[in-house]
Amino acid sequence: MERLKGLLRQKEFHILLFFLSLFLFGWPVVEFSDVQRLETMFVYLFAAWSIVILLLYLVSKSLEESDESEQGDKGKP
Amino acid sequence: MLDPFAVIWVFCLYMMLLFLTALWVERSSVPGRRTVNNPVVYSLSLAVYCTAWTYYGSVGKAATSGLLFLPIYLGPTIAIVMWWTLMRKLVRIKTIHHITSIADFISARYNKSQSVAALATVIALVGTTPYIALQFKAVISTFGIVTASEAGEPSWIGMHLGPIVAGLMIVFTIILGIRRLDPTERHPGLIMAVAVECLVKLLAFLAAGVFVTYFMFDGFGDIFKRVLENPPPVVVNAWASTQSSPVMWTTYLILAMSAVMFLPRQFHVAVVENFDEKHIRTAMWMFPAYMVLINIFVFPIAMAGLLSGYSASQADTFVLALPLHAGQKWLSLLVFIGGGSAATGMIMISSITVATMITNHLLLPVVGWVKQLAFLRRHLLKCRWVAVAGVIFIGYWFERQVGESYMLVNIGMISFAATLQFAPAILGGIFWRRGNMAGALMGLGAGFVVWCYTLLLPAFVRSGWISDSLLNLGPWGLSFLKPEQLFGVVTVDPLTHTLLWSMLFNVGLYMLGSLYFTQSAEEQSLAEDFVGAVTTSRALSRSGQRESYIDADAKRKLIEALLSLYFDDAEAASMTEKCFQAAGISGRERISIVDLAVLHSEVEKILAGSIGAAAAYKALTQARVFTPGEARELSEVYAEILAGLKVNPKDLARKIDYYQEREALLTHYASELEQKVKERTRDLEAAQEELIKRERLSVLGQLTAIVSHELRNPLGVIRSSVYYLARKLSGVEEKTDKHLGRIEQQVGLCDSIIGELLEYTRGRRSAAVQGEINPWLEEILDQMTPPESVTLERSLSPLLPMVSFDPEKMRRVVINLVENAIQAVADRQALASELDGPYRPRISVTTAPDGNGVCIQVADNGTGMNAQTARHSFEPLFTTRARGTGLGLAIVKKIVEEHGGRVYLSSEPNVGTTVTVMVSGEPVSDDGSTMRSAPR
Repeated sequence: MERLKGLLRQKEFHILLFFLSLFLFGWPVVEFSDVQRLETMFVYLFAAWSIVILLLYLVSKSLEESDESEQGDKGKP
Repeated sequence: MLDPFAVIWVFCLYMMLLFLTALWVERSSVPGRRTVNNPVVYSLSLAVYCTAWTYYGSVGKAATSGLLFLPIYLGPTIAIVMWWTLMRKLVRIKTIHHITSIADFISARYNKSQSVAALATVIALVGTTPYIALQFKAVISTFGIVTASEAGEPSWIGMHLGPIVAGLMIVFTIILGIRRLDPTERHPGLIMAVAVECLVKLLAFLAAGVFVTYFMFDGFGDIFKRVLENPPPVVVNAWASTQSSPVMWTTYLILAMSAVMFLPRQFHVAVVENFDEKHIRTAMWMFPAYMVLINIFVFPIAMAGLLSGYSASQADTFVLALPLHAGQKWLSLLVFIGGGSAATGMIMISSITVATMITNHLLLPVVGWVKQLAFLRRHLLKCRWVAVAGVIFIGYWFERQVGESYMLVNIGMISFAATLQFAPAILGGIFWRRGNMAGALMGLGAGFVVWCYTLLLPAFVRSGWISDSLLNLGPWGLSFLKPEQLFGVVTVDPLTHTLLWSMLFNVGLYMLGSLYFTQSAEEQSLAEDFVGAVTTSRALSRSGQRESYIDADAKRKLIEALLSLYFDDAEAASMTEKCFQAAGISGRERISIVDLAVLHSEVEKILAGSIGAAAAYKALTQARVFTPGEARELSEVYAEILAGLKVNPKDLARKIDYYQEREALLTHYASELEQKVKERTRDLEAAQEELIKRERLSVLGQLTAIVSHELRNPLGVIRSSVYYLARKLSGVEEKTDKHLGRIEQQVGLCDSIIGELLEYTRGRRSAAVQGEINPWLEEILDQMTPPESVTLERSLSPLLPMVSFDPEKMRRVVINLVENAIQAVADRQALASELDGPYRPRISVTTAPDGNGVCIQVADNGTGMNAQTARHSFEPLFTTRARGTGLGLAIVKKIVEEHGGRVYLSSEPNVGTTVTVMVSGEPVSDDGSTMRSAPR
């Protein structure tokens, strides 16, 4: 778990997530050639968006914990 | 429909509540700031991104362009992924450099250039004013919808709504945001109001969405099912059109990614108004979540409107029209208030930030050049009010002028494209050290010109303000200069076309300018500061984060070897360990250059304590604790620290002078203190010597008392024997009588000496009583028998106060003084007779009142004393006589002081001596002090 948190707070992971988001929300994954895919695209876009937000939430929490532990360390004699 | 007055009253009431909220936040100073200083308010305030264009326009966009409205919110989500690095950096730079706007930020990075700031301000102004017009259009048109009468005639308020809303906006913006000048340009009250507005608009939109989706239809599935079964033509067209092409989608994504950070209002709420960089963490998920919520019903509402038979051209008002036409008046009012919130929030924040830029970067430079306008500097707040009013009024005027034109409808993306021009200068400024002022000016300028030419100018043409031949044929018929097909690029849509060309010119010239021109030293320092803001925001922390690569053991051995030159091996090792502990690097294998510098300092300190600072410095220099490479790195650390201090050499020299002066003063005070300590020590030594002397005298006194007492017994025996022999042998032989007389005389003298010695050394307890001096003194004088030749005069004052004295002790004083006087006049008489000079020996005893006390004076016209003798006359055992004990005056002084009095002596050889005794009128304690002076 700690290793996962460590991964989430790294700048490199943020860069990876940035490009992953670009991929998820960009061509060719997002494509509007067929109007019948309207609902699918709608569901996909909001689902992918929610997943990215969930990851951002986890990143935020891991950064918060990291900051708290740093402050705790500073407070130690 | 709703009553126009009721709607306007509800709107005013809502604005009043916002104002009271803002006022509460502003008034409750510290707690209020805590209210704003929280991540939720920060995240909500970021939602000012969602303007009336989002609120109403997204639905319109969804109806006409399918899902193409989504990249405007997906783009920010993608950008936000990098906010912990990017936004945190911007916030830190803002805090360090007291940035007040996006123009200020760019200017601060590029040598604080006024030209850069002015150019950025112009871009922001040109991009923002039509955007404000769009908000006015939204409020005015939706007000018309909710208050439209069945007859179709607009109400009086409806006809004058524009000026009313513009006036209200100006008043509220000034009251909420710029009642006073804040050097930080933070407006906690305004931000709280905007956060509340953002919450209201979200709730209103969700309410409308839930109503339309779940009450007018059976949910998302139902709407999608109907759309897919019988797709509205507009949707089919949109889906098939090039507008939904991947290129267009990507362009929207890119523009939105930049807009969420670099739109002036976004920069203001995200960077300038940020209280704490930690809020960014929460905003990273909360703001995207907000955008998901406010967009989740956009497409369903758009489809619901189309499925309900509304025209696609009315789609901008679907969110309001659908509940209204379904008879949901209160919901419609809520939706209108939500839309009003979206519009007013944007207008307030944008007008404030643009007004700040105008006054700071356009007006103030002009005031600097035109001396007649110098008085405006003292009226900056009023200037800002005028600027806010001007920006809002121009926005309103623009809305009136352009109305339904192409320009206004598309201003959202046109504005985004203008904002994108800031991106290279800002991103380059915080990530590329070599980016410089010339590059920024060239890039920004070129990007802005390209944007104007390829996007703004065609918008003017499409709005009908300029001949369309410019678009069709190009300027002066030069087809390769057609604004929307510049240099023959015809394969992309106008927006993407602008994005490509403006970025090519902007980024290209920014880089070329930066590479071609060189940075000044100050600009280099600024660049370093901006680029290293996150990892190196503080010079010292930056220095503290140096890589630990130096072998600690090697340094330990070096230091031990150095200390071994002065101490034994064990002690040197112990001292080395102490230095390591003091430097906080004990037990570490690798240390950084900063750690080594601290260690060096500790060793120097400990060594200086033993061999002096100069020798310690020299020893450490010779020991070569720093290798040449380490010394170079240390110099870099100091250079960074100096750069971080942001002082020019003159200031630095002044500060060093100040500290040197302070050190000199401290040194001076230290030497004064040392001098005082020396004096005090000397006094203490003197007091100690006196104490020892007294102690010795005391011991001597005790010894004298014992010896004297023991001598009195044999003397008594001798005296008795002499008396017996005198009786037996009296008259037998004259010579025998003479010798017996001598023995008796000498025994008497011995007895007298012993008596004085005992009197002086032992004394006795005081038996002071209150009494009159004169009768007591007369009795003593009567008992004395001076030689007949000596005249003893008395001059006793009748007005003497009663004094407290020990009659027996004071008797000794008087007797001693008078006997001394008799001796003095006798000596003088003897000398006078030898010289046959005329001399009449005279002694006078006088008394006189002295305040509460009495002054007794014994004067003679005897031999007198020289100054040196007079000075030592009260010292015990000092005498000029052959047979004197040297205790007479010492006993006088001692007794008088025991009475709390004082004794003075004045004398002149061959003139006489006067001794004055002052006896205090106060009761006398055992230690000789008067009761009044006892606490002394």
